[in-house]
Amino acid sequence: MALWTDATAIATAVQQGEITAQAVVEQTLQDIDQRERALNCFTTLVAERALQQAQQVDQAKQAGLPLGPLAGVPFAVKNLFDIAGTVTLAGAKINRDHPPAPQDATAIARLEAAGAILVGALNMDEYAYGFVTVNQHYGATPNPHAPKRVAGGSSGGSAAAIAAQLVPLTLGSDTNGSIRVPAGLCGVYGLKPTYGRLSRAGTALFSASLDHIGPFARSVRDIALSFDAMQGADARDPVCTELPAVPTLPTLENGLDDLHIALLGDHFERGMQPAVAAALAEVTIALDIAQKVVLPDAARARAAAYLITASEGSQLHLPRLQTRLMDFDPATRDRFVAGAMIPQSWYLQAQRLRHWFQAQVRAVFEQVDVLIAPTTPCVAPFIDQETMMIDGEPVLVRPHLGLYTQPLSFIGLPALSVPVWQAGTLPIGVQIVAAPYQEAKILRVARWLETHQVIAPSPYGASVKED
Amino acid sequence: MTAPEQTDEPLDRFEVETYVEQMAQLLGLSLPESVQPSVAENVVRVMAIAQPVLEFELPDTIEPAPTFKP
Repeated sequence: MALWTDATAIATAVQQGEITAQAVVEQTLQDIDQRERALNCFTTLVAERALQQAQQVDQAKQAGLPLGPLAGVPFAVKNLFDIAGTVTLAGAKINRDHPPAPQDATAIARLEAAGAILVGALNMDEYAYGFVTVNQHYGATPNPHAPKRVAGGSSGGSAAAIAAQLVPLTLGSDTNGSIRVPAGLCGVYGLKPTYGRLSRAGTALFSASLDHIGPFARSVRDIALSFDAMQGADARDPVCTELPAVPTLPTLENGLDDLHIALLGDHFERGMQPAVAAALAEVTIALDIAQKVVLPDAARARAAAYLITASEGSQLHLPRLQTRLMDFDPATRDRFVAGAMIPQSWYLQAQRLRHWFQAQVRAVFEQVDVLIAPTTPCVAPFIDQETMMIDGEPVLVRPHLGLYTQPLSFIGLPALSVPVWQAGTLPIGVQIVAAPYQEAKILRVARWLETHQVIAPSPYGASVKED
Repeated sequence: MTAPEQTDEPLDRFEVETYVEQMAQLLGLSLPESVQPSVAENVVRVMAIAQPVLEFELPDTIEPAPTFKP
């Protein structure tokens, strides 16, 4: 079991010479080896590369050279990130036939430039099309707090590896909620930055109009540190912003003073389990929120996000649907095929609605700085659960998990899922949302909540009521 | 621009199985019989999801957002 609390603690210990990067990496690899069988988070380990990288960090330390802010921090990535010399699986059996990636994804290169050490790749839903990480080819990644339940998805391995403390830092991708949903269900922090803020170069895309990448961690400072390390323009990603990086770490302790925070109403307050409502109330009361705002037609926005995702994802995978149909995971196959049959005018209407919705939400952000909403409408469902009761009505579990995340990623808003934990209960996430490029404001609010012990990662190994 | 309305009569006229069969041909997809019912089910689900998007009247001045900059 890991002795560290978070990535920052490891980096500080390595920088101060209290521990070597090699010792950290050896312990991490050993820990993964012992516990991975039950957790099923990893699909690939790059032990040799990790040890070499650790030696480089230790040599730099011995030579008196300055170390990066993430020196010696082991991290892992969703298996849709390119790792040089490794096949990028993207959760698919089909991709096993691909050649190894020629170079690392930009995000990996940037974390390593800051001293972090890649140890492996993590499980996900096939081609990122799912909210559960139940994968026919690579197995289900169970929720580390309740093994009969899902970890959430599609970046389920990324969230579960943090929840089980296999590594202190991971990366995932989010098209409709695939970072925030598993972060919420596993009780960890998961940041989906502004669309285009972080380079997606070297990641297998799903729906390019909506794809984002971002970090998972156990503390707000780790999210800030890793996010800052990955910011910056990248010619390899056509949507990566050329706006200057805005570091979030320097303002992390600035508190709430000048921030106007509101609760999201209407769509975002309907259809949740009582436990989710209670967690949301805890955050709302702590922040002393008196105002509620409405994003007009959020449900319609969510539907449009679905049409764009299905159309783009299906078009991207059409050549494989034509030639390798029965090698797809049945959980994604029929949705991809149906998505390929969506009329183009429906897709374009959805893309036009996106512009309209963006303008409506911009007006909202003239009145407020930060918005609060639940991450998911429920706690982690059971792995084989198909329906759940919401307001006395049965609803399909899997698509419903994105109820509160999809309208926000639809227009590229930055959102952090923070963990609300109460003893004996399953984890619940709350989203902190801001206007585009205002990640610093989100992290200030999160840090304030963390300092006041309103939010914290669910302790791994604590007993949870499983039903 | 509207999808087939969710009323009995137009849905009676829209044959989802035929649509799936014809579109599969157009897209170069060879769908085994075992897969077709589930694809049809998913097409019907997409039709229902699309309805509120399609019935929403947008001014002509609203452009699509293919390269989106928030």
